[in-house]
Amino acid sequence: MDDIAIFLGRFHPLIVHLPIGFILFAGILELWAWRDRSKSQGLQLPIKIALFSTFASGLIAVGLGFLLASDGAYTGKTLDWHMWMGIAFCGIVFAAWLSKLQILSLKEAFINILIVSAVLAVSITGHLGGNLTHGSDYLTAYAPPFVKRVIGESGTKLSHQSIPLQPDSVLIYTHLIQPFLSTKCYSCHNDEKKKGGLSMTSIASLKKGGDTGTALHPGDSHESSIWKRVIMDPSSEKFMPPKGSPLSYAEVQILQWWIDQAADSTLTAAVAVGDVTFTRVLFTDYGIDISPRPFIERSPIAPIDDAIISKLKTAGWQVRPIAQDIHYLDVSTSVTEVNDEMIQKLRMAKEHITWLDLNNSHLSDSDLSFISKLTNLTKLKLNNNPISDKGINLLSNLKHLEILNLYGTAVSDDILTALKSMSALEKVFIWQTNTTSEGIANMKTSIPKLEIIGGTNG
Amino acid sequence: MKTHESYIKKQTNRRDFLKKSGMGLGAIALSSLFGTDLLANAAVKASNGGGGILGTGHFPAKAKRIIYLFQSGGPSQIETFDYKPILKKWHGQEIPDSVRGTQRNSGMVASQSTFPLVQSIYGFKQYGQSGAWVSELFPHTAEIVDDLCIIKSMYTDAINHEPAVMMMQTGSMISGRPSIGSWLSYGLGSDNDNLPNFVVMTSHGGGGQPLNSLAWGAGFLPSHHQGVQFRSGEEPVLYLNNPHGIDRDDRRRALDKIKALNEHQHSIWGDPEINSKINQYEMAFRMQMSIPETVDISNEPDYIYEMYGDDVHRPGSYVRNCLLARKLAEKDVKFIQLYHTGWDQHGGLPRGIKHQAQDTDQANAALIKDLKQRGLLEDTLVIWGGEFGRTSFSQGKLTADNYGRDHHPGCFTMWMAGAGVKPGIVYGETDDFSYNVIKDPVHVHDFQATMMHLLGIDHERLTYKYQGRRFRLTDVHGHVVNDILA
Repeated sequence: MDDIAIFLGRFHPLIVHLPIGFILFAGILELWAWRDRSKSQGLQLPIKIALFSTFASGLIAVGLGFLLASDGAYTGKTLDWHMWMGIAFCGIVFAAWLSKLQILSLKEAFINILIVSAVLAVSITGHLGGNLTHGSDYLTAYAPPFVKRVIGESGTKLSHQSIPLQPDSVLIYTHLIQPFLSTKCYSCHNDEKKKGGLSMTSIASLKKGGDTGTALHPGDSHESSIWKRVIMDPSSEKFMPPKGSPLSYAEVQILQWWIDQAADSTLTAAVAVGDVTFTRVLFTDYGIDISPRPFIERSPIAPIDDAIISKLKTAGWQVRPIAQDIHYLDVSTSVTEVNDEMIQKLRMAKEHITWLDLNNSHLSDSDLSFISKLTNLTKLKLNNNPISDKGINLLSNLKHLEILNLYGTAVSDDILTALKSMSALEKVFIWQTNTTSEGIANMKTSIPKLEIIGGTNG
Repeated sequence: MKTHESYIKKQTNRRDFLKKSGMGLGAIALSSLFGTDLLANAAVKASNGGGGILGTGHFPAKAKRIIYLFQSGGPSQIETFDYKPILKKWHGQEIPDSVRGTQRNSGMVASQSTFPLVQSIYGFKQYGQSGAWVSELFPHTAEIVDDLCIIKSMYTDAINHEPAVMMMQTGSMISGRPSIGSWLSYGLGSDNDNLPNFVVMTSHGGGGQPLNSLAWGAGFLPSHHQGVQFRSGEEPVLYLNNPHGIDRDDRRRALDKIKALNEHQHSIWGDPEINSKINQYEMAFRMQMSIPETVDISNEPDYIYEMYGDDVHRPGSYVRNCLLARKLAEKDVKFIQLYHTGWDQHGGLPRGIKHQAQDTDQANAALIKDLKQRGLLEDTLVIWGGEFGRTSFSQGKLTADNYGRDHHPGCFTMWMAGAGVKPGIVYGETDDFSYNVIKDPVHVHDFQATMMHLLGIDHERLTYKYQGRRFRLTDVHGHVVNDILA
């Protein structure tokens, strides 16, 4: 019985077009009659026939509509409105027909009002029906922006361009998954139209699932029908979506990754840093680069004035930008004795200098107070200079420093505090210094991520 | 301005110049009118760091310099790093056709009627946290495996020494293209005005196949980009001292006069080689000061001598050259190319390769350790490897304690260490017979592309137009091996 009901019910979208056509035709005839009174009499019979046909086909459509709705795929307010508007339409048409037969005695003008309201009613019912079948944004999805503004929809669609670029602000669900669910799944699985009893519009409704149980099993994509259904043999009846373009490889990957990571709405792309496939998919399909990037790429800086570079060069520094589109500077010198004046010149580029090589330059501790002004330093070579703990302590404000070469200096175990405060420090070179093996062991336990490189001898 | 300038520079390369002569003197006059001044400026500019055509790299450079320990002759991968326990079972049996396939063999084994597989006579053990297998020939290298990125899946197109060396060093089997160091000098310029950008040191004692100096030639690039070869003797560079009665100021005045004459000549002819000449005179003048200090190892402490090995006291030895390589790296020489010959064991491999290993193993490891403790391994890329591998079947008669191996382009092992390369990994795999690459193949051009990438260069964007087309080190090939980048 159920199958027959659904089989017949599926003729509803076909049959509904008959009352729509008939009532519009009745309206046209009525308009004709109103324009030319002389022909009015002759048109009454066709109008009666049109109204009757409208009513009869309308009743059949309503009946089939009940059958279609009986499988529960469509629920919600839109369905209710659709149903009541459809029934009301039939009622109005019935009344109009009875009046035309003069069984009901109504004024001509009132009959006209009935027919106009029937046309309105069928338009609204039809529109709601369309929303149920195709999804409520079907009609407006490709509307020009001004139309969308008129009907109060926001002019911009969620697209790749609106995805934030920082990995920790890319929400996997909101920015990457919802957009394709909305274009490929929502039309059949929303709160109003629940094919298979499933709405996919929220994580909660996915977890709740449909007729065959939960659609989303957080942490296990292979137990989640939302994923299984999109990767199965496309010729299978169960393959989703049944029509339109299937999910792309990237979408399938992202969906699986998200489910396996517990399917949480707050999950960001930052969690995926290190996952090779995911990283590549994000980059190739969405243009999001989540590969871990060093400071100089993470925090871009504007190019420095060429005049400053020339001044530094004149002072004896070798200066070159890090790369063609990275405007931080790599500074070194072949001058064997760097004097105060030279060091002070560096302040002209204090934000730009990120690699600084001052090995073997006869630096003293006091020179390092100038170096500490170069807050964007990431690599600093101070090896083979007569500098001590006092000087290194001046550098503790260098928060971006990653590599510090102190070999051949007079530093001791007491640089630990300074090293600790250099929060980005990854490597320190301390061969031929006054550090001791106990001190180094202590450093290793205090700053576990720090690689301390000593030497073979001396 | 810069593009404008390089445009005009291009206008005056030799080939165009010849073309212009054919077209008429007016063109020469015009090009030299623009040319002289700008070229003179370019020459001056080179003296304050940089000066490369790229200005700065395409990407941030992980490596600022390279030490390339070229093991010429083709070291056997099977006795060194590519451990194949299955060969024990197959020892003495014919190599299966399914393995040998259609891979090319050299003419030297063409007359052989039998191709018996041969296992390494030297044992292997795993070392370090990475657990890399290293042959007992390399006890010192074994100590530093956690600093190495061992690539077992190298392969090349060439099967004989000359073209294979050229392939590794210039990207083409046919000699005449610019070598790696020349490209770097051309692209990135110099970090030290007082020393050549590209130094070549060959060592005594290897013997075997000779080296062709075109392997460090500049090809069609301006000739001052070619490698400067240090002599493998007591004095690496001759005639550094001024003759009796001539002091440095005299020398300077003489050079200034010569320079003026050369510039005058250049203004007439526009030949870029005249500029190369000027550059070379100036470099020689500066080297008079810088070389004696750089090549003097007498100030090195004893433990450094001990670390490198006794041979360090023998000028021209590989060991001495390794120590000099470190000193040159400290002075920011961009490309330091060592060659050690004698790895070509067609016969008598067990003895031959042992000798080679003894000459080089300790120094290789010492160089890595020494660079590391000085912080230089951070921005110095060290490369070890030859031009091809060797066959897993024996060349000549296989006896209980003797065998040989022929050239084998199908797979060989190299290692890299330092700047920007993942330490402590083994990349790529060969089949059970070390005959074919079965995982992650790395072609010579891929290797070159990766090396360029580490120096901050996009290998596809460092080109030089010559004979109507743009050339690059990797020609039209090469992919960066991203998996080995740190």
